[in-house]
Amino acid sequence: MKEQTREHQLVMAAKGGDEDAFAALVRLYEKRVFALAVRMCGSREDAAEAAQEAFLAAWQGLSFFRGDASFSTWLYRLTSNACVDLLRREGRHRSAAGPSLDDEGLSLDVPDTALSPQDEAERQELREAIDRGLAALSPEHRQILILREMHQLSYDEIAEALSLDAGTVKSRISRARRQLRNFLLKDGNFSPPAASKATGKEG
Amino acid sequence: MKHCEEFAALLDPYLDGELSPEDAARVREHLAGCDRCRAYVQAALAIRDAFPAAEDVEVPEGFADGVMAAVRADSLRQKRRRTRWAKRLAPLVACCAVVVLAVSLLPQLQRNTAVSPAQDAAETALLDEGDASAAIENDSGAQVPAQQDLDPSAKQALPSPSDSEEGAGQTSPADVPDSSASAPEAEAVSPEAAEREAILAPYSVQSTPSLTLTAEEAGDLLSGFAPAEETEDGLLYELTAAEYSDLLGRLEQEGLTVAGAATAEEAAAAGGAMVLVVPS
Ligand SMILES: [Zn+2]
Repeated sequence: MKEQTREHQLVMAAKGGDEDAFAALVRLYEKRVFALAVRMCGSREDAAEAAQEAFLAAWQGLSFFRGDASFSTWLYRLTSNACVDLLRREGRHRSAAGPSLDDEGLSLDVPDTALSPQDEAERQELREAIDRGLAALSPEHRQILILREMHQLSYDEIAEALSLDAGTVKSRISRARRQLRNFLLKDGNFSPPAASKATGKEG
Repeated sequence: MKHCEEFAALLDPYLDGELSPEDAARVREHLAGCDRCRAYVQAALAIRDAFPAAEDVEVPEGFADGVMAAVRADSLRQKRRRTRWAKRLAPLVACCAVVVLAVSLLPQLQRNTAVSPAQDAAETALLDEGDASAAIENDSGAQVPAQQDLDPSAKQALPSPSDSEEGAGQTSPADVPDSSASAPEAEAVSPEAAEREAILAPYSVQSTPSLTLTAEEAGDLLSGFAPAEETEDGLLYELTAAEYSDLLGRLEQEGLTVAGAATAEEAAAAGGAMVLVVPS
């Protein structure tokens, strides 16, 4: 709550041309913006460029930012656009490395692949595998999973950030998640099944 | 499992907290008895648990400073651009003034092929815009003769947008109630032509397909774009034809019709369009 008020104050001040307030916003969001950009662009150099463009676009467009979408959602949208622009501009269409995940032969018959990493080392291993899996996804699928799982946007916010309708958000998330899961299954990164009781909690 | 198909589409919204409590309860119930769906949910939760965190990313050193340097450089550039923009408008106005002239003089041109004097006049007029308003004053008193004679002082009134309206007024029956009486011959400008002119005039500044929106109308439709220029009137966006067409579609969805908007076809023909967003 307090964080939100502070953010709102900074946004209002920056809207009025206060560069220091904008600098504070940059520091507040640089990690989240850069984290999205680095996975969208594929390299830290490109990510830095795209992230800078996104912030610059935010500064330039701030006077027209109405504030009914959240500032962060808007910023992620600018970041996504900057990454797409950069890749397009440079003709750097990174073809997905690794196995193709586009086939929907979902190996749903894999029995109980429950995975709950026992310790931090395992989690770290899985995290690296997820990063490889994300890199193998199409940009659209990668982007939407990052916004959902890393930035924890709701479906509405994602729809807003990516200019998609609600139905597309839902189906794209589902496809993206299934593809990532398939990658991890093939990658052999799921740890052995844990107790197969329902993990019905949403997080 | 036939049952699963019903639930397949609910699993992701369930995981993402997007279901109503009732639907979530139904999913939970299904999960208790279905290994396959449960495996999916557990895998997804494990992915979430280990998902890379934004906090873990290392932002390049000096990144924020670099952004702020770019921001300040941009602010400076914008200030310079504002003056440049004014200069850039002038030739556009000149060229459109000629268009307006050509339309309003069409009947006369058939008799009097004085195209280049008209152009010259329009261009000259631009150079001393300061005199233009004075010219209007003079002008309204002597509209009809000025038109007939292609008097340069008449054309001087044309170049700026407000002047153009004045130009349209020259042949508007409303502004010149007894024009038909005073100059029946000169009234070769048909009512249709006058109307066309009146339509032309307000948009005469726009040689590139363009659209002007208030910030309120624009909402955040343009929030994904960086403005090409910040002018004194507002932010100017340069869109590709496809982006422009998309924007028109969205405006329509919101039930907004904007007078004078260039069509998608015009934008396609010109390879893009400009959108000016003015404060509401
Ligand atoms: Zn099931």
